[in-house]
Amino acid sequence: WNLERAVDAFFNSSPGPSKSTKFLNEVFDSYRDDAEETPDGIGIDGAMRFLGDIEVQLDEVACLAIFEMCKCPSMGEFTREGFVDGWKSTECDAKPKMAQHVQYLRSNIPKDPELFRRVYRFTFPLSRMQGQRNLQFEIASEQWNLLFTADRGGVPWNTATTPWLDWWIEFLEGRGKKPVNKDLWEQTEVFMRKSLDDENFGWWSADGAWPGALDDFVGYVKGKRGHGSEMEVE
Amino acid sequence: MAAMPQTPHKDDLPETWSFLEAGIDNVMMKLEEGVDMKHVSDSNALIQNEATGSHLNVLKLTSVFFTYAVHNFCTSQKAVTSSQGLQAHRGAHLLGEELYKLLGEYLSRHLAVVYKESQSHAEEALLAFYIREWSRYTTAAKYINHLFSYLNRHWVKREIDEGKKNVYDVYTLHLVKWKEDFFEHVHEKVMDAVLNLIEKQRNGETIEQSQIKSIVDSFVSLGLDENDSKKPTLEVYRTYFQTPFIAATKQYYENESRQFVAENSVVEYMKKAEARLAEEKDRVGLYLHPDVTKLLTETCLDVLVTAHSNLLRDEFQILLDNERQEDLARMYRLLSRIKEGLDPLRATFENHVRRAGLAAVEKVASEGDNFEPKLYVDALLQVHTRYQNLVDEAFNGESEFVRSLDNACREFVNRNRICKTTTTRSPELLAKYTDGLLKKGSKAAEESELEEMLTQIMTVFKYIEDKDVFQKFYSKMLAKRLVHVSSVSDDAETSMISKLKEACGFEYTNKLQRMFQDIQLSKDLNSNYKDHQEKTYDDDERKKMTCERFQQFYFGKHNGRKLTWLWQLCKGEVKANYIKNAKLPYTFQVSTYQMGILLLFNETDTMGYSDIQKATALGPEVLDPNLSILLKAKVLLASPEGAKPDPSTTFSLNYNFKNKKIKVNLNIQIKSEQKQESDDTHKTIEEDRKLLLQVRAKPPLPDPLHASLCIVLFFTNAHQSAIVRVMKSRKKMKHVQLVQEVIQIVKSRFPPKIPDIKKNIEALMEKDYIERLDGDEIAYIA
Repeated sequence: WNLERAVDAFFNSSPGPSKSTKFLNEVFDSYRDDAEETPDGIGIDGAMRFLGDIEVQLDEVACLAIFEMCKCPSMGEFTREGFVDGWKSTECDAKPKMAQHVQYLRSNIPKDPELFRRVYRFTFPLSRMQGQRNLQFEIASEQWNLLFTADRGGVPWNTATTPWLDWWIEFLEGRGKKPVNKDLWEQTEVFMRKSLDDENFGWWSADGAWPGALDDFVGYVKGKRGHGSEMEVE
Repeated sequence: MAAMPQTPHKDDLPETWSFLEAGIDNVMMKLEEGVDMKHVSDSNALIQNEATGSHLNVLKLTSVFFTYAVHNFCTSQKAVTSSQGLQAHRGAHLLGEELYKLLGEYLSRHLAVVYKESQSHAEEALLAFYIREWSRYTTAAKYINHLFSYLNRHWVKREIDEGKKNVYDVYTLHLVKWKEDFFEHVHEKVMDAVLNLIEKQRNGETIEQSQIKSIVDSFVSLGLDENDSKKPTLEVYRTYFQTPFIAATKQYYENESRQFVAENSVVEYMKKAEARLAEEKDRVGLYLHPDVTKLLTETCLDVLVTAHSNLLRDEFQILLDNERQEDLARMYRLLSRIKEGLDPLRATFENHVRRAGLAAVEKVASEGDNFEPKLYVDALLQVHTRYQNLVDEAFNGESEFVRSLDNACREFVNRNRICKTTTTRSPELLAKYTDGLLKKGSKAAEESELEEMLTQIMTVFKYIEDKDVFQKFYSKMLAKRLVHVSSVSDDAETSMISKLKEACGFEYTNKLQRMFQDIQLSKDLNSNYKDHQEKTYDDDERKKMTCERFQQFYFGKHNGRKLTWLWQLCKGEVKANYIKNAKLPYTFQVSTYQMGILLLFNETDTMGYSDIQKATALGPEVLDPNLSILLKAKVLLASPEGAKPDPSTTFSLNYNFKNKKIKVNLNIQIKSEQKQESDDTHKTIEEDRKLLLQVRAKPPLPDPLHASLCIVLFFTNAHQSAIVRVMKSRKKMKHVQLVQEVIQIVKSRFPPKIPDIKKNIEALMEKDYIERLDGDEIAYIA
């Protein structure tokens, strides 16, 4: 293991597999379901095994982060290219190091808004049913519950005065559980950040660019506050 | 000839000077007198005349010697001491300076005398004195300047070239001396006299204006540029004339206007102020220097208008209330001349027009719900015409006032008592009014008169916000006019449509125009059917239900089409052969429903309500009003007598029917039907609006060279789709901006709601025509 050479290799992206590339390809090969049929893919079973080996729970945000890193085309499915390119950037050359990197992701996701946003946005295409443009409400709701709570490594969308996440889900259920489109999915996360900065909607205006559902949600929250706690003046 | 001067010795300064001084004094004191004397013709004058004559000769002679003397004097030392160059130069130089100084001293002495004399004069006499002395002095100055031209050319020029201050050519020296030794002491007194004179004139007295003119000229002449004496400046004039003049003007008009306002009405004051402003403008031309124009006008406006602008504006509402057009025009003229003078009036005007509009509508509304649409439209128009006229006549058609008028009209046209519940009442009524005009039997018989009225309709139309509502009602009524062949003329129809097209574009009238084609098609179809009927059916067959036969014929021609019968639009004629007293049988013009009812009486003379209902299968909402019409016309008789159509009533045929006309029209539109129709129309409009903006197809790309953000919005209505398409040749634009652009486009039809537009932007995103970038920018996906 020659650090300099590895770094050179990485930055020059010189042809010919470097040491880490070789290691990653070997790892990839070992988890393939069917080396004959799909030599460059890992299916559900292999993926489960791999994730278990590097100590990743299937229902934690870090798992989504791994999928994002490897640009997985769907849940529990890896391609060779995505897998090797994704891991190469972490400089892991042994499985324990992979587990360590997962640990690193786990602690950084709630702290690093950019990383969180990347993982959050990738979750949309990842969770879509094949051939569908939008996310079914039930799936979206489940993913929000994963991503917007602290239990499994997300960013909690909850403040002293307002149980935002619960109200959001409740609000959408009240509107007939319509499928969630990409724009609404992405803007919900932007909205979440804003609402944590200022609970009283100083940043919101009716003529703004928010999707209509979020505009209506503002009214919903204001209404609920009016009836609920007396602390809120709105 | 004793005074004949001897040429002095070249180098003797005192001798030279005394020689020169005598000459100068002659010029100064006697030049003018001499000229004046020539005209005196009494006996005494002869002697004087002789003396003066010789004196003039002396003067002429002196001038020759004089010039020579100055020349000699200036050059003498040079000739004598030419061997010692530098000193000689300085010597000549010294002599020039000496001469210049002595001349200055002479002028000072002269002016001291003039000043002393001036003290015994005041007011107009002082002015006369000043002018006389000034004239004498400046005439002499020109002459003396000429005599000293050698000094000017050499010593003075050299001094000035060397940058020496306070040395002037001889003429200018005169002016400087006048200013320092005389003007400085008398200008205040002179100005007092001038100002008193002007005040007298302002008070209406006649004055000798030429005096002031001469004083002004003198003051202007005294303005000398320190750096270049050849260049006149207006500084002296501005300081000593203009400043006190403006101050006096200000004072005068402050007093006058204060007093005038206290004793007279505002209207009178405006007349006064206007007259004063014109007067002061003329004053400049009469005897002031044009330089004062701007300042004088500003001062007068300040004192006469700005200072009283609040008072004037307070009167504005009163003048509006009393429709004092001329006074309003005067106020406009006055206030338009001061800064921001009109701004507060515009708001008042807008409010006033709006209130007038609301009051007019209120009056119509107070007469109950069943007013004629004409009454309403006329009320709107009347207000608009009145104030349009006012804006044109009194406010010079100024665009800002036009805008205020438009704002006010838009307000009261769309939001008034009659449209209290919904703004869509106005377009509905306007459309009905238009229908009334375009239908046969309207009162506007003259073609030109009708055209005029259509133009007026467009005036109101311009202010309507819900233009789609007008369109909907208009098209319904147009359809009826066409089906019933009841249009007053094709020309009028075409003219109205082209007006709408001009106002709203092709898309707006597209459907209306298609109706005319449909009518032509219908005509062709009918004549085809007639031929077909002639050929195919015998008499028996003809008795079959007409519509069944037509259906057969129609489907034979167009396979797979759906044929919908609009029974409420069908009509026919029934011949009443049963009526006893008629020489000729009456003909009833009836609707299909009425015909259905009447035909039942072929079988029997009396029928119960429920039998009729069963036989016709009509609901009470249609049946009842139709029966009512037949009862009212006494075609049918009710039993018990006077009963309304309800299940307990029996109806019988009236054999004693009488009417003045042979043809009786029973096909009258029923109130409840009208109401129903109008409600239905409103409902469809609501639905159309929801459909608006909905995306129907992938937008076509504009010029591929600039693949651009291209949003296609379609207006849809029940009958056709794809009307408006909008393209923006931009790849990206801000969300907010996009919303605004869409509002601009849709506004011509009706005021859109932002949430609806946002919804459609989201729909486009979902379909991947556009996407959101960071910072809420929307981009077109090529």
